[in-house]
Amino acid sequence: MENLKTLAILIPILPLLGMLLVGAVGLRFLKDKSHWLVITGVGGSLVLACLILGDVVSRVSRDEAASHVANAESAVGSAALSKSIPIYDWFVVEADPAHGAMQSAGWLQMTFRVDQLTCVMLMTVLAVSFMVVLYSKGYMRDHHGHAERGYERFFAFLGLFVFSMCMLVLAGNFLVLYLGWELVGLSSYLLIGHYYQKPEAALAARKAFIVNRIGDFGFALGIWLIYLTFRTLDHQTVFDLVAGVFNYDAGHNHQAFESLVHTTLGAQASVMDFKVLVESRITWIALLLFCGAMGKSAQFPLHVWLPDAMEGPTPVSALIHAATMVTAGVYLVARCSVIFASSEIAMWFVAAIGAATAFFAATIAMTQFDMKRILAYSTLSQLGYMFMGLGVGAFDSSVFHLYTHAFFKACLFLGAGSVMHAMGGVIDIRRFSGLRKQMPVTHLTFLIASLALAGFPLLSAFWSKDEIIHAAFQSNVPMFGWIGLVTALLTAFYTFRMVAMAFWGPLRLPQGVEHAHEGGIWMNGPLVFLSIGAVLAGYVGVHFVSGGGFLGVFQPDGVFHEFLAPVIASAKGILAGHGAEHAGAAHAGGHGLMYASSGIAILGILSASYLYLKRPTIPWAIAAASGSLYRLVYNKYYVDEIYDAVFVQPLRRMGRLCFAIDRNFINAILYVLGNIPRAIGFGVRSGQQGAMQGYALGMVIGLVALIWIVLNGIG
Amino acid sequence: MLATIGLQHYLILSALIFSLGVLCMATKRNAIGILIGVELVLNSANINLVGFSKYQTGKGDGQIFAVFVILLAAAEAALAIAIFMNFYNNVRTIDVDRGDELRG
Amino acid sequence: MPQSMLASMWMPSAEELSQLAPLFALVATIVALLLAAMFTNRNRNVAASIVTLGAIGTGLLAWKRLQSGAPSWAGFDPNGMGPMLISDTFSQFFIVLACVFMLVVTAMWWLGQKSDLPDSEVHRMDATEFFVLFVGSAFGMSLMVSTTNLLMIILAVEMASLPSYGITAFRKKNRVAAEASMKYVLFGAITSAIMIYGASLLYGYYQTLDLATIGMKIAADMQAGATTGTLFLSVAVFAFMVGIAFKVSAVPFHFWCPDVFQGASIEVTTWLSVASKAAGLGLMLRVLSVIICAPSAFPVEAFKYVSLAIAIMAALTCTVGNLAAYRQMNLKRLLAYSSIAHAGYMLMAVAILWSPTDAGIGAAHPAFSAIVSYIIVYLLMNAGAFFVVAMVYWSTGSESITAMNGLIRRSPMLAVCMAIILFSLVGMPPLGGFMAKFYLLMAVWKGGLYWLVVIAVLNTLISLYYYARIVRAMILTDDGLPEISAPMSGQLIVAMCTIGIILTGVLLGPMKEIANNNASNLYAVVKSDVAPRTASAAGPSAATPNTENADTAPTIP
Repeated sequence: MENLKTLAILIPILPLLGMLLVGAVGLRFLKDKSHWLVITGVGGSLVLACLILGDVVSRVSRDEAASHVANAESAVGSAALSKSIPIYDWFVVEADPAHGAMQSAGWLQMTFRVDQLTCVMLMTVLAVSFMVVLYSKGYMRDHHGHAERGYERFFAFLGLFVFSMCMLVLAGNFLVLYLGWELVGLSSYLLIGHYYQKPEAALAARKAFIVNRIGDFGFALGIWLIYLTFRTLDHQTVFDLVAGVFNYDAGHNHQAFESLVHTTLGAQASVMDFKVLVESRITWIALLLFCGAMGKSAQFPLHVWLPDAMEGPTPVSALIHAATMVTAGVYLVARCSVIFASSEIAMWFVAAIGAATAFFAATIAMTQFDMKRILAYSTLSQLGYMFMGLGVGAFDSSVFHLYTHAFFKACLFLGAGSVMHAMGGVIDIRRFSGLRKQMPVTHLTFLIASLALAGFPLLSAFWSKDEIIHAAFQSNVPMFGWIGLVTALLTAFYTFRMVAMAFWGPLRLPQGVEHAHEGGIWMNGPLVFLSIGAVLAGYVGVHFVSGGGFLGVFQPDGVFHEFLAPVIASAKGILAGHGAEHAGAAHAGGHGLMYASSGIAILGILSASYLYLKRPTIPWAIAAASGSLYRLVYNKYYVDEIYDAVFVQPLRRMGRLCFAIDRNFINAILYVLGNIPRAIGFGVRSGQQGAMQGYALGMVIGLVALIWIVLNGIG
Repeated sequence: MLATIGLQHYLILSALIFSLGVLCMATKRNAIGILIGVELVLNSANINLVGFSKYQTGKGDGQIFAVFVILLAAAEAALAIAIFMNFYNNVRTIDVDRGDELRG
Repeated sequence: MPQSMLASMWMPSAEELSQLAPLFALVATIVALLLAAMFTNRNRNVAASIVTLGAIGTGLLAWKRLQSGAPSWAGFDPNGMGPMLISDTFSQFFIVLACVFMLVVTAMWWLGQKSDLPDSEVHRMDATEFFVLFVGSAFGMSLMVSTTNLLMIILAVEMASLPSYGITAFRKKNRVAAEASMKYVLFGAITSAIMIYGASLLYGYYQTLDLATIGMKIAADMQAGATTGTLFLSVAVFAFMVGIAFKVSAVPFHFWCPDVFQGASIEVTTWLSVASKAAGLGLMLRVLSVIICAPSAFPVEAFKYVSLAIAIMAALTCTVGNLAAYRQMNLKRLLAYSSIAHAGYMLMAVAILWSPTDAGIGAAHPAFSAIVSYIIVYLLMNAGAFFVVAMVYWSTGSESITAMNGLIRRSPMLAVCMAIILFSLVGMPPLGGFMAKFYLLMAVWKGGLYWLVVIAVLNTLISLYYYARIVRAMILTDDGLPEISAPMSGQLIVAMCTIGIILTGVLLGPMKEIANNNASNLYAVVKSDVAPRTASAAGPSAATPNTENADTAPTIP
């Protein structure tokens, strides 16, 4: 426990220290060498995250020897994993006898929680962050190696982001989670607006912030409702209570549940009342929490900020808007799997939003020409997959997809950044092509990551995406599975449309760029590492069988799922109670689906390559023929325009009205109020009296009044 | 019959002087005038102290207190007059009304 | 009276003297300053070094006493009259704070005299006099928190005030400073005269100069149902409290504050804004505790109205302070009103200390510790804010809010720190100001004065406006003023204050625990002051029973 606690504290502290040092000494003394501070901080955290993973794994395996892992309660070492680690009481409020005992124990505690899910997230976040920080060292410079303006600031904010993300992931209660949630929002805002002199960047930053606020408002309400219902914000306590309520009728372990209710809500609380209360509120809680997830993970209809966020520097897009921050919503739902699993409506809603986003974002991606925007829509689409997986109960598969996605998507973004760097800031794939020869490393890594994204067999996303689609087919609404398959085809298509247009074909460079060249070791190193990750990362999620599996040897559901199983065990239990057919046990089947999706991926890849390399006129012809439909998709279904008309303009008008009221009415009141003290101070100074006498008179009147109050009171 | 002078007499005198002092502080526009009012109040306190000390405690601590107050009054007056002179140097008057640059 | 005791009164042992070491150290600093001036041809660097050393030395001595814990009394009168001076953790705590702040102000003086403004000329010329007066007022403030004797309180308040008048008038050629110092000295003289008059009445009524004894007698009278003389008593108590209210600038005794803060040079303003108020509050807590804690066994109903009166005063103080700050253009004046408002918040908790209801007694301890925490955070915030204003002033020669325009470009470091400090002054989480205010209002709420909490919250909203005005000037308005050449050491101090504010806010819980423990100690110490006195008054060692006077009912004129 102590070991975990020390590690858990150090992990966010190191990047924060890096950031503070950049601010304290970097700006003044280190200048364009400031990256070392942040690289050291993030690298240190990565090492610590490995240690924490080792610790957790050793605990789990030690217990496994004793008992079965699913029964984590009885196990000694891993029991610590399901408990919050109190760091300190942020806020001490004296006990209020009207409420439960939990309050007096400090309901506003800083607590961390280290379990299997945390480890997975930490490893993903920190590995990608480390790569991106290294990459930024090369990227944020011009071709002569001179640092860009704001170089130190950029690294400081990266440090802040990694700190915030670690806080979010390590949070042991909803308060800390919310803190991290807002902090990543802040650092995302700061980093999108890095080139704040560019009006688009400033606008994009603002848009991201505002859209996130909308989601966060729901999230905050959700947390508030959780507090109102459970009188605690501690993750595990809330989850245990929910699980207790929804397993109550199944009828085991009533005593433990009741005693938990009493310690949390006070001895006089009625268990049955509580059960009814929770049952009536759980859907609202889940939906409100999901509202926050929709904002942060850019799900329809709150997805509009993410494509615009590509105005930020490319490393930021790779790190925050592809690999880590946007997956916070997925993490939230996975973390609160018990809450979501308890509400069928919420589950359906999550899956539906995910499926819709996956499909629509993929269609938009097919029509875009800005490489980073294509990747942004692809990210939306992949996040949609993850939510679909969560919604159909395949929590582990979604987290698995989150993990594999981080590698190949970060690799794609960094590759795009490498191209952009070489093309002098041009990123429109109509303006260059055939970079294959001049940028071999970028091309190779980009190709590998693209294959992974397209779901090419045996690469990382193949395993994870297939699991999700499989789970969707197994669920109550097989429709989601079909959407998943169609989207997979679109994904393969738009990915290779991009690859074909940018890297293949004849060499063509934008004006003013004579020669495309690689970004050097700092940029290529991370690309290579991440592409290796894109190939191999999936293999923790499969195990090998001799015969019967996919291609005879592969069987989904590997150590990764086994590792995560205790975290989502109770959610699975509740889902099983609902009587729904869900994934999990059914991972075994569905090899047919795997062959089918391999076929679809290869079909998409080949057709895109063919169309855009051999017959580039056909896509244009199709686009022209479909006319308004094409324009609809190309303009992203006009969502931005609709928002502008429905929300932004009316709000702006209302804002103007409020401003007028404020100007003319409230200001007048405040002005009057503001003048009262002057009247008190100087009103008495009329006629011949000087300032001094006014003051003295005020004092005497005050003194007499005080005495009068006391005497009057005593009577 | 001649009335003996008792504590009451001290206190009444003191209250009178206190009132005079407060009146003086409240009405004078001249800084020295206000200072004189302050001195009157301090002296009324002294009379109180001496009277109480003589008639009630009989310990003399009140009288010691009075000596300290006299000392304080002297120190205060010295400092105050120095500050008045400084004001006079700047404003050419010691009318407190004229000190109205600081307001609001 | 036994010979040994008499001897010890006349010839205090070295050990007894050592308990007052911090006070002696301050006096020694003054002497050293005067001597050094004689031998070094009034060298200002030597003077500043002596003050720095003196402050550090005093602080260390006080810190040592603070650690050792045991309270001790100097000039203890065996006849139940109580001590003249007290050296306990409470007083040492305030002395340590004063020393820390002395260092801050000395640093500010040091940096300020280097600028080429007309003020700095004066500072360079008359450094010795400035520092003698400065350390003198620090000595007075240290005395203020070290006594419960009426005479000593009066002497301490005067010792703190007189040099303050002097340093306020230090910018001799400055008309505004002359006006400010004249107002200050006149108000000070008036209030202290009234205070002394009140003290004389209290002395006469209860025939003792010891406040704890007075407290016990008040309680006994009230318990016995005596209602005669309440007019007399309340006039006496309130007249006495006027002097303290003046020090903490409670409405309506606050008029001097904005004028003096604006008129005095910035070092003096900084010093007065924190040290003078902290000492005033320390004295107030001490006085209240010995008066109230003595009869804690039987709550005095009449105190309810005293509590109400103070609560009204607190509400007025923070409301007037915040509203008046609303449209100020001068930064020092704005911060002066802000400091009045903060004094108002602290007075709210003082009202709880008076409250004799069950809720009030229950909340007394939290209220006490809340005030102590508030003072610490307030010190950090004001030191930082005034330091930023000072550096802007040295660089631009202007104290107007427009001098802050575009500070984010002219000195990003200062602007960011200032913004954090200002938001902390508003009381925005998760900064120190929030923590302090939250616990304070929590105590007030627990004490049952709900309306007071409402007023405080409304006031916080008002205050947001004028603090945000400065932030707006710093960040949104930029009229192309040149960059600020802020000295590194000054920036370092500002940064340290800011970090302190952030830490107190983020590490709220642990800080609270520390504050709670220390405040418990202080609270216990202040309470326990009473016990030995009662014991010695009744005990056999008190050779001359001096109680017969107490038995005779005091004559009321």
